[in-house]
Amino acid sequence: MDKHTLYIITFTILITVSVSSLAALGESRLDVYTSIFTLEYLHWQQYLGREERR
Amino acid sequence: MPDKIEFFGAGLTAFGTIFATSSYILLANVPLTALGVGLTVLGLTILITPQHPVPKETVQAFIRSSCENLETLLEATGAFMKATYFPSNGKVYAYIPVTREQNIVMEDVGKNVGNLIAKSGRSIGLIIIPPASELLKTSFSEGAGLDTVAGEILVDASEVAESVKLVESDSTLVLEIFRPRVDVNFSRFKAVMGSLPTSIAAQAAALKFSKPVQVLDERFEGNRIISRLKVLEWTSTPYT
Repeated sequence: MDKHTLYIITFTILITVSVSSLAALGESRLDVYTSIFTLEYLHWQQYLGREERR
Repeated sequence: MPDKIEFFGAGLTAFGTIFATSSYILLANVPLTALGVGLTVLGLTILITPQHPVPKETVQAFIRSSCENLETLLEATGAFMKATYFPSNGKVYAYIPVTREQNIVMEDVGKNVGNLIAKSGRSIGLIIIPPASELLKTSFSEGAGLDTVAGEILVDASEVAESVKLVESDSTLVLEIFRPRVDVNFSRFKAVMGSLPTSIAAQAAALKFSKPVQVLDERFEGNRIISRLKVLEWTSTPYT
């Protein structure tokens, strides 16, 4: 599987898992969700960048 | 022309935006709004992340043209013996003998770098720059093992194969190259230089060990290539 596909699939799973987990915990602040998405996005971007530089 | 994945990304972005807005305004449901935002982010990520910075077809056309030139040269000279890859000044070259009688040592070949024809006694051969030689210069990392280097060059940098496994025994290296994505169908080129993934792996090995490397043989089994490479000494005669 190429890195781009892996990245998209992992990011999809992370978003689904974080939304369902936070919803299950009863989180009702939209900023918490967006913060988590931002963290996930930046983390994966950094990981992908490092993989390409290696 | 946009790719299928780009259409998907644009669709996901549009759907996510509509979904988030309607969930927030009509349903006043934060988790569903967040899901919409998440889908929008995902769609935008798909759109902005380049899948192939240079179109794959273009890269393959460049590689084919480069190999076609070599094929013509090999046909014209009647070369049929296996090439020996050797490093010189941080670059990898390939020595291809054109006469049957070969008593040249690799040390002497190395001294002829810069000339197209290497001559020593009655031994005549060609010294060419193999495809991907420049790629190795930019993506070669010092200190890493050969399996890591082969993976970096074949999988990460050139993307000519999906994965690589390597087994070392004495001076012989056995490579298992899975799902090669780029190869050329030039019979003389393949017979002399090896298949493109094997040729690149041999170049990586030559650079890694700072020694001449020869492709002993290779087998094509389904969607994998099993190649055997031989690491030679500078004082050895590769063609006996």
